[in-house]
Amino acid sequence: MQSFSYPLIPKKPAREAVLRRLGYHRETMVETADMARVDAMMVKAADLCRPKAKAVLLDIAEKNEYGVTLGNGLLLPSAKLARMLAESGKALLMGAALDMSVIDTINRELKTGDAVFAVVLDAYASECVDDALDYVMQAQGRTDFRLGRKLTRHRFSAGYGDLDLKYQKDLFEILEMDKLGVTINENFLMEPEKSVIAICGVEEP
Amino acid sequence: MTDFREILKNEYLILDGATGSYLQANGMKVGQCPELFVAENPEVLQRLQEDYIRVGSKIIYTATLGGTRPKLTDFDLGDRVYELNKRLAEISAEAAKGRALVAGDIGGTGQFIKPLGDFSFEEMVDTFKEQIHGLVDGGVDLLVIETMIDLNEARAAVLAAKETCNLPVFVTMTFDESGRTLTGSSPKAAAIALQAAGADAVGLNCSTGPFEMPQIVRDMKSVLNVPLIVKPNAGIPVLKDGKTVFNLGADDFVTGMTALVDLGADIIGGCCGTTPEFIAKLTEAVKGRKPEAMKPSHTAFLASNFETRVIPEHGKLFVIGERINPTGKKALKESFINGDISLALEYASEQRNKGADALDINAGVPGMDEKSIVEPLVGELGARMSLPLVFDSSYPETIEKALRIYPGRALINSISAEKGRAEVLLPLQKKYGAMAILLPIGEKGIPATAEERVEIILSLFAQAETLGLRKTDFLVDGLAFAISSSLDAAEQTFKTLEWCKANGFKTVLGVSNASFGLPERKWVNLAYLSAAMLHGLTAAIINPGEELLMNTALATGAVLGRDPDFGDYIDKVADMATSTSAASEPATLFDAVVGGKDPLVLIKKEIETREIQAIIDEEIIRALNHVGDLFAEKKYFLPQLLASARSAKTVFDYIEPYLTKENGAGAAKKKVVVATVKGDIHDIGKNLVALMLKNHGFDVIDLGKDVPSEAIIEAVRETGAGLVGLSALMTTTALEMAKTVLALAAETPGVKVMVGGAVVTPEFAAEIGAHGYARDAADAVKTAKKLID
Repeated sequence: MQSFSYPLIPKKPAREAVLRRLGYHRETMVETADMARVDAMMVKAADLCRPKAKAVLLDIAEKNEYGVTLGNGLLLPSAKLARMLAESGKALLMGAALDMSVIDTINRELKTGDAVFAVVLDAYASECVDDALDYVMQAQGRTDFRLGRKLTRHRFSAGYGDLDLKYQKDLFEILEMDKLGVTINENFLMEPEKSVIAICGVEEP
Repeated sequence: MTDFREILKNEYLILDGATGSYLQANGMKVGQCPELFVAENPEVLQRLQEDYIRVGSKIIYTATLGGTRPKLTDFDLGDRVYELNKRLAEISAEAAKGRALVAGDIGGTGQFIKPLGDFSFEEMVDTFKEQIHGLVDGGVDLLVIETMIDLNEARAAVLAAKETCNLPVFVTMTFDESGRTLTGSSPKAAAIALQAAGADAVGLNCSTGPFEMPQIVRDMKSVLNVPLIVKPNAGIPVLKDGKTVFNLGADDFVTGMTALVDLGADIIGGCCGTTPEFIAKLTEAVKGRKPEAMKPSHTAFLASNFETRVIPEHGKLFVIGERINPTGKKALKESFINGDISLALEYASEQRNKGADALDINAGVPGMDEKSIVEPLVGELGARMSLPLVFDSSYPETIEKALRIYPGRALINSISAEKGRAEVLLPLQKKYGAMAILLPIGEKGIPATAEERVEIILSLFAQAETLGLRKTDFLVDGLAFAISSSLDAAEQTFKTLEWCKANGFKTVLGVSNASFGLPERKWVNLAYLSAAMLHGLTAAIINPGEELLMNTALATGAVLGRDPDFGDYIDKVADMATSTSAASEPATLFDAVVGGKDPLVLIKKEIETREIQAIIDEEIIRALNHVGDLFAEKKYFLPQLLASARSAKTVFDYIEPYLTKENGAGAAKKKVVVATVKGDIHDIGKNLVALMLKNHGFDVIDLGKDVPSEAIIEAVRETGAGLVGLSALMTTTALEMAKTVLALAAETPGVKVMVGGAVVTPEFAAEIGAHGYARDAADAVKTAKKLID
């Protein structure tokens, strides 16, 4: 098992991706001045969002059509996950989070401040943590032709598809997400709200 | 073999192609350590390298891309770094037999430098030095640092090379689909920083195929004074019959490469997916041609990790933000003493937002080791700030520390002729490729006249020239002194500026010094700045938060022809109009609410002449319904929806005291209890719903998150609310939502319940007995109105 730490992820989300999260479509009509204000809010959001991540590379000990057993003995019963990892010899577990201060700012602005900024920050922050996982995958060598291996294109999270959310707790512990300042409750929800955990595979055909 | 620069005088320098795929096809197992495989099977690599040399490669790379300790440790070979690198260099030298240069190949370590990772900058430098020792002792002719995803790691490798040997150093970065490195560097920023660090050739490799590279090649070429390397993949990887292959054949690859040669690539080869066939055709395609001779750029560039800034000779005033300096700032001083950089980071953001082009960093607090602040501050700003930095310290060791770890091209503030300072700082400037401010202060103190200042400038620059530094590497400080101290203080400064301009030096002034000792200093500063610009001032160290000063600089630039099409000035005026919304004042309250504008002026006017009920019905309610429709049709997005709701709330708040019984005074607002259900700790979505409901006139009792059903029932009973809104994010807590709906039905019959959240669907809502489902905050308002209005 190898562990990797990314205490600060510098890459900023694409503007278009944040706008999409805010419901922006081709049909959306926005005055230039209003869009300039949203852009300025994104700059402010970028100053507040400081994404960080951890990753762990584990052997896949066993897999069949019903699920996958990782090298540390953790069984993840999910046919969909097993299908995604069909060609993989290893699994890359990843977790990313923002500081609680971002959530506090969003809620404070929603309740007593500038709600427009709150929703822009919310969208920006969501995009940031998703992007953080992309960053980890790229840093891990999404495609390492030299060694003849590549990461699966997609990633998978507990609570989606057929992998029960309760496995979030096991993944949380393997990744030591607490060291990123994240907690998990009895319903397997993480706090701060902008925290994500996912798995992808390392394919070695 | 001869030096690579000699080859470039007569022909394009051809590199090799891919190695990894060949090794895999010839016995190396997937996941096996290539370095060990080649050490144990040298003939396999040598066969390939023979082929590359035969078809035209003038440089072949050793098989040491993963030859650093962290990479070899992945294969339990961390204790064989020197031995393996030395042996692999010898293997390639044996293949080259003097017919091609052997490049010691250095790749990424898989680690990041603080604050992006756990390695210190010096640990990274030492890691590369260990590998380089092996490569050099194995007989390589040059070093090539390639496939780098982080600019600072690449810089550490360059510095390691320069501090270990005298061999030429090539560096190539990898850029993703966004045209940036993984850690966000633009091609120009990377090229400037690597060139500044001492790389002898700079470029890009891997990344994509040649057809995706023209813009990156153009950008890098536009700022480089050293040859440009281009070594792309054989196109884009695609899945074919279950295998990943590249989409370009040799002919197409060469077509793409020829276009890149036309754009200025000097040193060319192939990366993943290319073979000797590709290199043979590439060699043939450029046969008989030679690269254009390098033309040294006369542009003064600064760069951060992300972006570049030009200091124009006769253009917009270059603004260096002066705020990160504890002198006279108690809070900043205390934060530095406590080892806290957060306030300095705030100052940095503020100055960027106000239009600074670069940020001066001064952490000088008497009695404090400023390096203890400079290191984390420069680390953090280097990793996150788009503006380049200016290192301002009395201590050369602080300046070196900052220059060493900064992933960009910085400006040193400053180098004077005081004893020993230039002798120490000019070599540092040269080593790290920085720009510097020349300060014409000598052993005898501050020279009063322009002539004395010029004498010192010439003396300092003569020293600089011996190190190969050029005028474009400097700004000269004209020395702004308090005009109250001497009648000709300003005149001597302006004469110095004029001399600099006439002699090809760019200039800078700390403008606010001029007003020292006078009341109402801002007016003096304004006049002094305008006058200095008239005499040719290039850059100013000022507080960009002083809007009057910044606008005066722009206006003066326009007057002096330094803003030829008035673009800078007009852009600024347009920004000011945007920030005050003067350009689009709404005509009616309906327009104000629909446009999310401030309705106060209009409502004050309207209330004098119209019935309140008419205002509510014909303007506000109609506007809110219209906005709801626009949002549903995707013609509006979320910020507009909220801005509109905010405008409506402003109107409702204003008219409340004017309400009579007939039009709603004293009438109870419809009460809604909202909560995120027990076990669920996420409440941003619920808070948004609460805000929208309030802005649409509901009385919202927000119970927060992780709320048990008993508390919700109690709140309904206490408040008499007719509607409950429940939120849940995940499947686990959606079950709690079902229980809560059941409990409410049993304990508070007649009370309506609407539900929503990431995993909640209309079907689920119906299944658990909820009366309504809300897709989002706007839908929640509609649903609430439907259920209890």
